[in-house]
Amino acid sequence: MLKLATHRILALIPVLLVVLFLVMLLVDFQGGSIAQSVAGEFAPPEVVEATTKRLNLDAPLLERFGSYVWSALQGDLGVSWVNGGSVLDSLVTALPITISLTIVGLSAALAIAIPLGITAALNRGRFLDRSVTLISSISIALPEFVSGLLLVIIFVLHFGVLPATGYVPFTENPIGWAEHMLLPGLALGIGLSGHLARQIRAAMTDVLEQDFVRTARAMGLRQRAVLGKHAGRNAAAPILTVLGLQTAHLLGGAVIVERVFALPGYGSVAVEAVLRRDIPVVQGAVLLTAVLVLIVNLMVDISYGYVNPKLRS
Amino acid sequence: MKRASGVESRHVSEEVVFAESFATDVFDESPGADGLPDLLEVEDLTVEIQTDSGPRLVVEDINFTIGNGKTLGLVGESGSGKTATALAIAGLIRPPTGSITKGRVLLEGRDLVAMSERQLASVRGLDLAMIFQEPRRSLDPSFTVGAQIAEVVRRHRGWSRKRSWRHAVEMLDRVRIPSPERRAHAYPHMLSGGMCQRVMIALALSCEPRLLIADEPTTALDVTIQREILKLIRELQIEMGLTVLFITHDLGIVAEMCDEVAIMYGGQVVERAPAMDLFLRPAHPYTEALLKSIPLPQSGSTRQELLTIKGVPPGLDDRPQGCRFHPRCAYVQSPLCVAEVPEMHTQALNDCRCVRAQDLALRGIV
Amino acid sequence: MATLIQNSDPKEPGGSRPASALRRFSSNKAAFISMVFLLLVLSVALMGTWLTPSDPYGVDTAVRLQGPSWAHWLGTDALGRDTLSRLIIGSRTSLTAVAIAVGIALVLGVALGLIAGGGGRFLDAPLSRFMDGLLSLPPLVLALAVIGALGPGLTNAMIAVGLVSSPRFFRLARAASASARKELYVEALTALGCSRSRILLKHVVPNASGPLLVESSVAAGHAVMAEAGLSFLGLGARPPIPSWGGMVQGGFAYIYDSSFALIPPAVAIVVTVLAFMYVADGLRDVVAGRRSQR
Repeated sequence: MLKLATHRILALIPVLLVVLFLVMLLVDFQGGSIAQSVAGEFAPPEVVEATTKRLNLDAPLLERFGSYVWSALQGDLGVSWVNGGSVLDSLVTALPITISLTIVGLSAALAIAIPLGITAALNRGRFLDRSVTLISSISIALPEFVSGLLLVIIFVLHFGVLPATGYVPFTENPIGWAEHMLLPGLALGIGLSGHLARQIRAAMTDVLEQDFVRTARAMGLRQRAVLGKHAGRNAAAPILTVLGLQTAHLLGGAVIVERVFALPGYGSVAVEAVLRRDIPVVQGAVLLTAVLVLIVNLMVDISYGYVNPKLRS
Repeated sequence: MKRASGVESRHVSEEVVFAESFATDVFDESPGADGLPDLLEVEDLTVEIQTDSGPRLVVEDINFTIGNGKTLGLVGESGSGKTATALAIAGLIRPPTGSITKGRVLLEGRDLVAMSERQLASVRGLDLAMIFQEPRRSLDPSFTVGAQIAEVVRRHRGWSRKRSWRHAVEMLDRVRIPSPERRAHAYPHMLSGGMCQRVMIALALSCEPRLLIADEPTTALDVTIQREILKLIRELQIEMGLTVLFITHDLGIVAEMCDEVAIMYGGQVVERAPAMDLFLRPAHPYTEALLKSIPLPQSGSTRQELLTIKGVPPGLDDRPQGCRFHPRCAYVQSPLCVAEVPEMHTQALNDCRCVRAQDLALRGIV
Repeated sequence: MATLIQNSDPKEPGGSRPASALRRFSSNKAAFISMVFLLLVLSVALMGTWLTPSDPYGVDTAVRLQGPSWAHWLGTDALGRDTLSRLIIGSRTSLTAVAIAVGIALVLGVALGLIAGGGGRFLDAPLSRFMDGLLSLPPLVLALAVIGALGPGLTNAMIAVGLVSSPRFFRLARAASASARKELYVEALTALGCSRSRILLKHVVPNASGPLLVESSVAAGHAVMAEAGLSFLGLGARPPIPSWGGMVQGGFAYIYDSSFALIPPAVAIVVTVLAFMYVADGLRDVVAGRRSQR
């Protein structure tokens, strides 16, 4: 297990370094205009020059890159060019919101996809199966912001049951938290549910044709046990793979959903930073994302071991 | 080939009835002589399955019975419909895969065809059990073998986890698996093919069913292991008073294990007889051809030619008109054999589907 | 993806190759309809202002946020501009976006993939690892990073999307060149004195064209979604250039006043993405069919 973890980290580090380097390289190309944006659109040249010096933009690329990596390893992600606050702090405060959102989104996706996928697998080739396929295709094609907006139109404007924006921490008020998280979570989860439903259908269909499922039926086990226990345990592995891959997309979708529903998660922070050319924050967001993806992948690996006994020991 | 074997079976009813049916050798001269109702009666069973080109009848008008405690061998080549028959009897052919379009399957008088899936689920594993050809693949790779047996026991008996586990270990011991307490914690991929088949047998017999359907349980195993498994099945049958439906394409196994035989070809039963009568005096040309194709050691140094039946068995889509075997039959006479499908009729002690049966004097194994 | 080599025998049963491929494609109804739709979108984009009933940039605050009417078939936006006209011009944005993103992804991915699979043994491992790592990160976040450095704008945004979409093409090209190396005809050509790059360009790439076409269609669908998303965030096409994503954003800002304004662009986005997906499926069948004919 430890071996796998180090393997994964080692695989991710070069990518991270290259991306950060690329960002800095591109910043170099745009040096002048960035300083201009930070200083202010109408700032006079002297102010822009002073800004350039302040932001250290005239130092050589490798030097800037090296010092950034060095500080990052020590936990210092720099300060925001816009408000001077610690990048790490602003990201860490915003992180729990994004994590809540992602978890709710994931749960919503599973809650939709599992029944759909199983129904499709049990009714292969028939009407239900084809409907599920159609529904999942459409949900895959729905961008998160479109789902989000549709949900807002239906539930906020039309029925007026749920709030459109804002966030309430769970610890403050669980009900409020749920109310504010439901629509964003759904918006995030709908796209994923399409992918998952397809995968679940495929995996279940495969497993249901296996001999041991026939044995389970032949021994008189109830449908619930056959599907849930035996088919489910064995279909889980390929589904976990897709889940691992798609969670990366989920984190990306969270960024958009946060903007639609005005959730102050770190996705919103990143988008703001991009609009204001606040490079350190953007870099910090990328780093943070990489760490999250790593953690998700590790969790998927651990669940693999649980689900597939051949991988243990 | 003499073997003394007694099959003792007990019916639990208001009066305890002891029935003894002894076969002095495997060839019982008079089936059903014990006077008890047959355990399994298959009447006019017809099964349809969905193929890519539409629904097809895979077996038609299957009729046979198995007496209490007896073993019936269902013999045929691939494509003859023997596995489909077995699955249909166990109620495992259901929409959308296929369905039973006609017939009854009476297990101790209860018609399984008329039952709902829920009712069948209570019968399977408890009164009727089935073991399959590839034991390794027939066990769930994600659960220990002990857990799988315990699960079935809990489902049907409602016992506690502990008691079910203990019973599972007992069953593993009964199928002669060494160190059963330890082995119960093993996963199927850790066990050999022969071990897995023993586990399957333990699983199937864990709730002491009346009927065991064995679908080619030894085909995928090594020859040496085959003998052990067959021996095990035979012993357990005596111990538990089991009735066995044994599906195979191997006539040697039939000779060793079966009291009666039903030969299948092209989705129909073409001959049905007590084993000895089948081997000595076959009534159907197909049976004769099968018997001829068994290579037997012969004295002398002459090389033997391996006799085969010319042609191939028909698939689902190209079943011949009339008698299904007629294109390959050495005794075919048209238009007699092509006109219509022959009915089963009794010829001496054998039942067979051949319109020319009376005229033919077929040779069996001498 | 064992081998991507096609049979170049012209005497294939069922007529010439392009004709039979076309026939197979059209038998897939969803793919066929989608292709027709996409061609329609293309023609609309090309015709542009010739087609628009009103001026897409014409601001008229008197008719803000109206629903469908005879004057404005799909209503108006927050500044009174005709939605239908903006939708038509917006198609240009979307298709340009697709062209840039898929173009970059294709060129970059294929070039690197051919290098990785075709020759440099010591280049292959780091490149592949890198691409795998790239695939595991959320594309949107990476795109944000690139846009952050380059600045907002349609071109920059789509360059970012293109970069982020290149790993898929990389994998395809790498597999194609790696397996081609083992093919007999490559050995023959090398023996004849063909340079490696020539072999790669003139033989390997055309032979891999099927799967590359499928992947391009998939990437096109993603590109439309990405452009819409980024424009929605304000990072893509800048006003006043109409873009479907931007139009949705505009409608969203005034959602309490009128919920209709964002529907036409949203539908346009979803239908176009679906069309690319179905076309990709259809192409996949054609490619698979071609391979099975050998």
